Amino acid sequence: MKSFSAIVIVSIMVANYAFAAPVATNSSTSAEEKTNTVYTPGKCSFKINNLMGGAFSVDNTSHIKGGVYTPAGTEEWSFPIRCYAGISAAEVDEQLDSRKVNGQWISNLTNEPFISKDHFETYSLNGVNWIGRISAYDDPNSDTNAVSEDANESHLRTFLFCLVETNGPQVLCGQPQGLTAGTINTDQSIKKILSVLRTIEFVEPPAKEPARAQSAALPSY
Amino acid sequence: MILSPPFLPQHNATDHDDHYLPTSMPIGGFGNGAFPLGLNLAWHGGIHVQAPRDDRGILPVLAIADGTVAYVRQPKPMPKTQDAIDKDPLGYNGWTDNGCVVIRHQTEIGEDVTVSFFSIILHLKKISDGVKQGQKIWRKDEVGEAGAIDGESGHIHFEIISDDENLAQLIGRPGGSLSTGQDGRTASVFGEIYVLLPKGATFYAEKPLATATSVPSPTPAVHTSAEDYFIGIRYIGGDPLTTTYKADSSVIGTTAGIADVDLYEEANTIANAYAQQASKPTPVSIYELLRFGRTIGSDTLHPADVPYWRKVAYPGGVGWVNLHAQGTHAFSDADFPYWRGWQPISDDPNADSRCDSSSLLDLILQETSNDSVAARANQIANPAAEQQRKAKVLAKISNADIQARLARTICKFPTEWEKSSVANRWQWLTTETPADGGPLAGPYLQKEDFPKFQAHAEALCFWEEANLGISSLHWHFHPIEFIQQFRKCGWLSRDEMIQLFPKTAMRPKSKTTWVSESVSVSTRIIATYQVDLNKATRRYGIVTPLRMAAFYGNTMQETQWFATLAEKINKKKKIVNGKPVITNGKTVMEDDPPRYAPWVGRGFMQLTWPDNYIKYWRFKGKSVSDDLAEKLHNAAHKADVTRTNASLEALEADVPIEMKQWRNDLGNNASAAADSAGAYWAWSRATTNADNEPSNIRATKPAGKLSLPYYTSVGFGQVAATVNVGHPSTNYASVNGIVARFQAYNTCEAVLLDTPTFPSAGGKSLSAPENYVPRHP
Repeated sequence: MKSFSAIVIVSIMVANYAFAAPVATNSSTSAEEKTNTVYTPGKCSFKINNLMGGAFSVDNTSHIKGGVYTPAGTEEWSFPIRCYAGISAAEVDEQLDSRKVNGQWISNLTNEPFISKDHFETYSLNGVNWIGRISAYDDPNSDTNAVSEDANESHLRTFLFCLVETNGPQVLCGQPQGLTAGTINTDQSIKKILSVLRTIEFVEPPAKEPARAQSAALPSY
Repeated sequence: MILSPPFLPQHNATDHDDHYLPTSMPIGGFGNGAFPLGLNLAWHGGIHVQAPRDDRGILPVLAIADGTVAYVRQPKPMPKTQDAIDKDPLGYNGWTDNGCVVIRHQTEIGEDVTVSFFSIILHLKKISDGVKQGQKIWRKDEVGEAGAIDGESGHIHFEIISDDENLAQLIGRPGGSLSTGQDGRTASVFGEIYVLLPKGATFYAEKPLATATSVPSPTPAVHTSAEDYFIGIRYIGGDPLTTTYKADSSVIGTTAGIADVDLYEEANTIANAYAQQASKPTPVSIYELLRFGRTIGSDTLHPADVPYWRKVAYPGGVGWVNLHAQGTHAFSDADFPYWRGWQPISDDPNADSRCDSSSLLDLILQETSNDSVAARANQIANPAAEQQRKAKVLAKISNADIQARLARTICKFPTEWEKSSVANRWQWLTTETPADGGPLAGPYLQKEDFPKFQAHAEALCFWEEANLGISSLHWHFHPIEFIQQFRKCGWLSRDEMIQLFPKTAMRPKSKTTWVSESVSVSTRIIATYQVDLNKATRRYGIVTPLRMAAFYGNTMQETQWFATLAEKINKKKKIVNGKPVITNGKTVMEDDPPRYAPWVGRGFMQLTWPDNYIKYWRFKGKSVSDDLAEKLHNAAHKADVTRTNASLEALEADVPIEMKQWRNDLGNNASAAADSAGAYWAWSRATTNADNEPSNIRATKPAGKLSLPYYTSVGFGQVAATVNVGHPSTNYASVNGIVARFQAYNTCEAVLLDTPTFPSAGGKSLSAPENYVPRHP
């Protein structure tokens, strides 16, 4: 990490919602692997139309129900998908650690605007029947195991997503763990994660669920 | 819920509450502000506590838990002359201070079990400057100074109340006696665990086989129970105590049992006893059976009738009995069971301030009249019979055993503090004869004296002004019993958990200098993990302040303050043909995996290496072949020796995707991440060192021109070494991030313990680490 006295002011990397992240292209996951499995953690019900050779295991033991996606082969990334059915737009923002106030993105960790060294990015992502928002930033907390004199000192890259059903109350959010900021491995992993997320499709929850409410969580973007 | 008494004399964290709480809240007996009945068998909703003294003088009154100040009444200064005191309504029977603070507390005691209650502190002679209505107040914040009651200085009236809705949350039912036809509640489980052993239970002299659900007939029984027994299991500083209670809460006898720290091995031993059987219970499910007398989560028992043989006292001896036999049911202190004396009382048929509850009078007389409310009203209408009954009550009520029984009643009656109803609530004093006064005695109070009494009572009232939002007819707990009971809870609300995180942490900037940096924590992170962490700490007995401090002190650092449940990989320059790759003018960086990758740290304790993962999976009942386990073990050994992960990477093709999913679960699934941390805690016997009294030895690190302090403690240091390097050690240099771990532990001490002490540079004793800034949500 750079010393405190050497903060370089650069423009904050806040992407506008108007553009979307590039679609991942990866030869190893290009084969279509359609699946009809419906996952129903908690009050959410969805399909992952293309598992890209990986696997998804439902987690109904955690307090917040969800599941974990594991990629194929020897890749080492993975990510959780958690169900937050019925949450408000403000709560979606809370899941993304960021909120827009007077045109400025505020960090929920510091309650201050993101600064350049956070490398904050946010953008929208669309699916079959949902719209989503991604937010990513370099974690402000340092690795207390590390000696900071190394100019290449690594930070965590916090990458958060929420997929909000366009005509219903379902919301899926998640955060891949252990991503290192500024490596090609992280960039590639995020592209692959996005490519899996794009194939998610909400389906009607089982009949036992109460009548579906109007979508309350749709953000304004 | 984090809770403490309103006075905090020095408390060594290893001193058990059974001893500490009575010394922190000295109270008198019947007639001296006891709960729930005063001298004339009038309801008394709280206790009068004498402020303890130490070398600083009389101790200040403190907030018992985080909350919001609901009401403040500044005390009226005591007049300077005796004549003026005598004329003042507060001078009735000697001067009584009227300073009052009411705090609304909202916290959690289990999964989706939010509770709200009020603490009332009255008779303050001074209220601290920061205590303002509507403002947040934090546990251990000064509320004020104890004042006078009836001319006796240094006293407070201390009361804890709740409404109907919150009583149901607090004790698990809306009132009445605990139903024993099924297990107790599972959302909230804490304190002593109880198993109802129905009458007819057979005790044996020798321990039956671990798998034996029935014992062959030639084996002699030493005892068959003729009534229900309630077997209580608790740990005092890790030492087991097994108590046999009767329904009337009397104790038949005690035995020891399995030490807390040995439960993990015992669970595995029992599971292994099923090796040759078709259905094998998982070790984790047996661990829960041993811990809670049942399984309370998703790790259920198969077969369902796994026995739980335990040596238990019966009248005249001890013998082995199956605590998980058919007909048994399990409970905990969270159920407020009658066999420990808990009894909600709500059968007072009228709204005056005199106790007319038949069940309470029965409790004192140790009779069972089973009066209906209507029958009771008829009795009250017969003064002679009623007087006779109350005379018998008064003859017994001062008995210490009766007072102890009364302390565990939870009583619903009208508040003492409603001004508009004082006259109606107390008029009986002028019309009724004291029960022990004889037929010729006059009333409690002559009519002409009543106005002065009424003025005094009204001068202390605040109910209408406070407008607390609950009915004036509500539930009252004995405050000491309430605090003692819920200090066993160990469940942290979100607002409590986030306070455990230090505001800053240090790390090395170079080999000789350090830097102190802010620690950021989002509410999202706490919300995501709080329940699963609480469930894990509950399962593994990490529920005392010392254990929680040691657990969270490590898990916070291991996970970069909960920011990641999977180890962040270091990075390095990408090298191709011996040269760094540069794209768009920037050096391309890539991951630099550690030698144990892909078995990198995952979960809140960051399990690493295949052996630890497999140990946890087998504890959870997942099947891992011995062949694959051995291959991975050997590859890990090679990786450790060669300092490269090539051998482990080479085996990835042999690792089935299901196992990769389990591995990823630890880094993504909140329940698995928390539970694996608890399991590691259990098998590494971390409790042994966590239970040590913190020594808090001041140390410093050079950071720029400053010398920044932190505090070491041998017990926690050894837990940290156990977590990070696999075994206890006082060689802190070998432990990653040890300074940050100590700082996290120090913050946990400040938040969780009652009176931790930290020396300052000048040798003063501080109640929090030097430079400590609380993280108030």
